[in-house]
Amino acid sequence: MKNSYMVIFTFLVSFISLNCNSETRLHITTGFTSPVSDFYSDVLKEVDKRLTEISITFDVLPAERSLVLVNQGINDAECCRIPVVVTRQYKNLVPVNQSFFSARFSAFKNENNAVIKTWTDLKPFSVGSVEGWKIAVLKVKEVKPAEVHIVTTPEQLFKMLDHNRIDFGVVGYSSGLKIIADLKLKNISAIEPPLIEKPLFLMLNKKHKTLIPTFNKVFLEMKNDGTIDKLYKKFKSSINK
Amino acid sequence: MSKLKLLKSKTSRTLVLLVVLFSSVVTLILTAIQLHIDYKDGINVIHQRITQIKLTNIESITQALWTLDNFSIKIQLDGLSRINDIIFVKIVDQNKKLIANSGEINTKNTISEEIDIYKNYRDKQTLLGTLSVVATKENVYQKLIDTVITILISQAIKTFLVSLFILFLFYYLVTRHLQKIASYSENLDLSTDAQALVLDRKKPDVYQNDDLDRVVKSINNMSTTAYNSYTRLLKNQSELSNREAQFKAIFNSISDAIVFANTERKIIQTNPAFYSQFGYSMDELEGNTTLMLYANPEEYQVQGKKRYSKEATPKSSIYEIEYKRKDGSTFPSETMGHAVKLSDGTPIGFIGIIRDITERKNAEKERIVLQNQLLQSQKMDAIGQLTGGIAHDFNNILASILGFAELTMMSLEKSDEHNLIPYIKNINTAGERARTLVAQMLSFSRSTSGSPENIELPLFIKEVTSLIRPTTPTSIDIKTNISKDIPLVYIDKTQLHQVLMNLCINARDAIENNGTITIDLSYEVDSKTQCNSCNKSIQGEYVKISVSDTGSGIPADILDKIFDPFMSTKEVGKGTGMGLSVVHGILHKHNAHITIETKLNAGTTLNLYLPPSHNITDAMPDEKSNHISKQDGKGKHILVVDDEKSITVLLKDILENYGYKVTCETDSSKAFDIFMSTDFDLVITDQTMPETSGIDLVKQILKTKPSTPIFLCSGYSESINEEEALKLGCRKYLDKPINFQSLLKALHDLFKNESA
Repeated sequence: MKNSYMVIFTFLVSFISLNCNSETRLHITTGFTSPVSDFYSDVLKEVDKRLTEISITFDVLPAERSLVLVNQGINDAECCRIPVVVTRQYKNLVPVNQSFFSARFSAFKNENNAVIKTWTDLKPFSVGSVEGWKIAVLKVKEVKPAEVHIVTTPEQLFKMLDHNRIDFGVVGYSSGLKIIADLKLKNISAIEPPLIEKPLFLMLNKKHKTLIPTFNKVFLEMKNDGTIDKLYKKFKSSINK
Repeated sequence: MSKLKLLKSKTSRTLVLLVVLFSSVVTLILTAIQLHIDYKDGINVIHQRITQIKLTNIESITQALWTLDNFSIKIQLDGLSRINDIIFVKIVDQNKKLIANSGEINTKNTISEEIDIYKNYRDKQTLLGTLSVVATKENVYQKLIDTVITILISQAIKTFLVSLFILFLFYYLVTRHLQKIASYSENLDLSTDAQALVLDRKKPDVYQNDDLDRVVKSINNMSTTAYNSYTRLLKNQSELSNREAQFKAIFNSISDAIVFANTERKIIQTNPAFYSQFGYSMDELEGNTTLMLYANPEEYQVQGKKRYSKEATPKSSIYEIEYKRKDGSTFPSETMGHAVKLSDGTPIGFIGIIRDITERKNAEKERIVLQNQLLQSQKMDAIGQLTGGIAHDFNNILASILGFAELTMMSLEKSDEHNLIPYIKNINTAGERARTLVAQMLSFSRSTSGSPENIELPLFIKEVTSLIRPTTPTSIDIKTNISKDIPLVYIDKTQLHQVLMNLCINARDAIENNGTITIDLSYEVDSKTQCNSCNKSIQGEYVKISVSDTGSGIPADILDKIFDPFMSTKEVGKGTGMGLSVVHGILHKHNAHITIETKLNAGTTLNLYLPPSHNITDAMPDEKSNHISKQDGKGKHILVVDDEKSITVLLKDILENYGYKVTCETDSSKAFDIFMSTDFDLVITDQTMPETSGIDLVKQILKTKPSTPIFLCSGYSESINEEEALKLGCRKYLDKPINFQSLLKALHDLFKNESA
């Protein structure tokens, strides 16, 4: 009899425990490479800490693949994109309202002395960009330069630039600097100021639409309490290194 | 050996054709197998290439797809499309949206394979897209066509050469010999003993007892056997033709109809007599059963079961049956029919031999009628002779009785014994009655003489009617219906009077109270009936006298006896039973006849059929030349010989009364001497006498004096008849009792001719 009570008790405890631990697991990916991806990782870790009902994991994927998988619902959110650009193609994505990072696309040059101030200045040249970097690719294609080379990775772009196979490469400003540093490319430099800067938003799959207020709130809190700034400084310092 | 000669043999051609055909079929089958294998190999190569793509290229494509490196994907697809047999490749994403492709599909003969490309991501296989590879089979087919052409050409050449060789070989070893055998067989004349067949072989010993050698031996044996068989067959055929001709001649010449029918009884064959009997030609009979021949269709079924069924025995049987001709008329037949079966019992048909027995049947009927007539005639003759014989004797006796009664009466009148006279008168009266009866009997037996003459019957009927009226009760009416233009009849008036009187008396007696007697007189140009007393047919011209009464009629059971003497239905004493017998005798004496129509309680009609006199002119005597006068004898001396004295006395009285001189003799043994002692002009002798018969006497007389006229009289002797008597030399044969009128006439004619 005593054993029977024990079994029932154990079952009830397990049941209650299961219900208490039921949290939303979100797998968030990004198409940005380091160091931006590192920044995102830090932010999302903080979010994970603050939102007890949500458990977040993070992953870096090829830029386009990241969007595809979130759009398919295989992954839960993409961090982070310009909504107007991506929602045309990926209908299942919805943005949160609070942005904590802005994308800056810059043109990187090798040893040529051409002066580039606007997108149209790229027209006479051979220009490359990276698949998945939507704004950059769109803008490059709009300009219709003499040659366009869309490569898979930023590393490819910079190698091509280093080997003078293209005149300019348009990628994210921070990522570009990081790759130059990683690949120790001495002849490559970013043209200041960046050609465009746009705020980025966390893009949730539609099935997580209800979580938008939660993310808005937590991002706002993190902005207000200075957490975002703190982490951004950490990101900036990593680029400067 | 020319090529033409090689191909001339049909067997060779067939052999080559079959070899070519078989070789072609085998080639085709083997080629098909070869092509199938090649095809399989070709397809396998394509599949191997696709497999190779999977093994070699999928990984890099997956990576490019994962990173959505469309450029890289495009480059890889271009590379794939350049692989042998691969004509088109494409990659679509997980939503089937085209990512990249390369090449083009320009044929329907393709092999397609789709390869889903997965990426292991977060411990799951994530579908990135699908690689479609399309390979053409055209190269495989082209290779197959090349292979086919190669095989077929090589096989055709090989087959041609092999066939040519076989053709030659077969011709040399077989065909030329077969041709010789065929030629030998075609020219084989079975009517002559042919030479043996020998094949043209260089080394006969080598081929001894091979198949051809055996065939040759068999053919030689067969030709010998065939020659012998043919010779026998010709002989048998000749015999068969002769027999067939004989049979046909018999079949066609038989007067009986012959019909042969099959097992369904359909008519197969008939003989000419069948056509003449039935009127059907063979064309008209074709397809019909023998049913059409039967007068009674039911007989067809009956005979079918009885004789023509499959179970019926083939034993012949003769039966009578009636058939129907084409014109619908029928005829009786005597038919012999039976089933025809083979030796093993299998029925093949039925045969019927039909004999028309119409004539025989008619003859039988006629014979029966004649037999009845004969019997009736014989009966009446017998009765007549009996009656006549008795009457004749009684007449003689009565003559004596009455004569001697008359003498006694004369004596008694002269004596005193007058008291005896009444007795004698009674004897005389009874004798007279007996004479009357005897007279009637003689009338029936035709023994009485008559004096026929032409009579006008209308007057005669009136006369008879007037005589009957007084003796008939007033309650009975007598009517006469006399037609006009009644010809004369030649008959003895007295006898006809007696006939009519007898009939009228019978009519009167048949009517009990009131009634009518009707006498009709008419003339029939074409009578057709039968005499009820003699049964002879009555045909032709006759004057008919009918005496009808409304009396009780005659019962059927006595109708055939009413003409018999002493047959009477009247009470005893009222009739002698001789009335109709006398009528019978008188009528038939004058070639007349009588018929009876009677109905019980309704009346009776007796019709007399008298031949008109113009039909018997020849029989009528010349009134003038035949007139017999009392001086007719002119003293001619006649010797009368009869053992019955009364007859001699009677003849003497009659003949002397007509002027003849008569010498009588009752002893025949003395008669010849008397004849020799005197010259007689004529001898009248009886046949049946105690000492010397009439024939013997005639012979004796004629032997001595051949020109002597002799009349032979015979009662009922079977020893001689008229023909024999005349043949013996007699001038006349007279039946006894002698008809004196006839005798006088015969004498008149004899002496009239002699004087002429």
